[in-house]
Amino acid sequence: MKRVGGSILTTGLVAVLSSCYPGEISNVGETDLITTGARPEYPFAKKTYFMPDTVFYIQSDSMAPDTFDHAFDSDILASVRTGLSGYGYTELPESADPETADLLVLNAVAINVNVSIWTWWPGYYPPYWGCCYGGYPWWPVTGGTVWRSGTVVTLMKDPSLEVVGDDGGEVWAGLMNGLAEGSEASTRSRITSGIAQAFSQSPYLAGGTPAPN
Amino acid sequence: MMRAILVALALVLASSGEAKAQDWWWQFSYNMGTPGGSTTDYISNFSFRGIGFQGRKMMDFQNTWSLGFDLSWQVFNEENSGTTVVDEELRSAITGTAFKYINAFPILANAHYYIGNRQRGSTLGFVGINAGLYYIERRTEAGLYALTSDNWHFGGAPEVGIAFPAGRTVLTGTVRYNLTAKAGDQDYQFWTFAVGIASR
Repeated sequence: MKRVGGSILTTGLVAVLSSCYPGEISNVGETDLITTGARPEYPFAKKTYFMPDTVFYIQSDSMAPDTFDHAFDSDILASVRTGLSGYGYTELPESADPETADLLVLNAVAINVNVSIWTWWPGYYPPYWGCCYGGYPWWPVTGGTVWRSGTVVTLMKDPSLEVVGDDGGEVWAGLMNGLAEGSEASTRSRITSGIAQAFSQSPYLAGGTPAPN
Repeated sequence: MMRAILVALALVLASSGEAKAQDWWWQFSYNMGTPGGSTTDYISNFSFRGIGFQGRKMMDFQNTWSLGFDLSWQVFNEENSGTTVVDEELRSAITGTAFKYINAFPILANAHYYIGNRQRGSTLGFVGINAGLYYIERRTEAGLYALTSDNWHFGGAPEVGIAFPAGRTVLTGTVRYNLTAKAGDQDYQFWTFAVGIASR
């Protein structure tokens, strides 16, 4: 009886002490957040758009790279085209005058480099090789982690709307934010599915919302 | 409430000086739990992560009742994926995976009344009331962001249980319903199901 009780207690202790935050993120895809928003009451009735074949890269902090390999540009552009055509939008050719389009569609990528630094005073951890006089180093040991996060931004802008202050006439925005780590195939898959989700959760892009009075 | 807790703890500690070792129950427990009431709006998953430490001082020779304390820890967690509309006017929506956690640390004084054959070596039932403080941390992680709030709550918990004596060891099973007052605009309710081993 005593042994059974002890086993139950041991099992409980192991289960509890394993973590305050069990079941945390197990793959980079779980860090993805897809956020969309639109100008209130904008009708989305006009259906031609012009999209530059360039994805703009934003160096969002001093540690971010200042050159990019543009490896995913074609995936971003293709995914946005697919999303828009699904709602009946028509792309004007590259040779067209952008001024004649109902909407301008711009794509950008921002990369952040994040740094975590931690420090501990030794005493409970094995000493390093070559150290010390039979004990632990007296100095604190410091380590760190660096990871990159990225955001793909797609903006739709109505050039007929007046630019007022910070309002540049944007009518829709989709932001795909997540950990910019992992294999190229995985990143490609997350970008395309993220953009698809951004359109999927914006059904009003099909039009039909009444125009403002 | 705080004063009542301190008085109860003081009574227990003051009487312990004259107590024989047998007058005390010292218990470790493995606690399971499930959210109740409005807490289920945030997390509804059953929890297998909990632990407790209890001390009880028998207050009379007939082992009729006891005063004691309870320190415990219960972790609730839930993962949700999906799309949430954040703002109707801005037609704003967000899709992702949210990891939600409640870490609850009750620090309680308690009183128990014992039912049945109180002779050593017999199975015993008990009812009790706990009151004190709950330190509760609530954390939501989504994407690369986390939102955490932590507060001290006044609270209490009625409980019923059964003890199976085995020599100087006692195996216990307890069911408790925890209710806290509001703090930081949140209150909590959850059930705790504990199995414990006590020395008496």
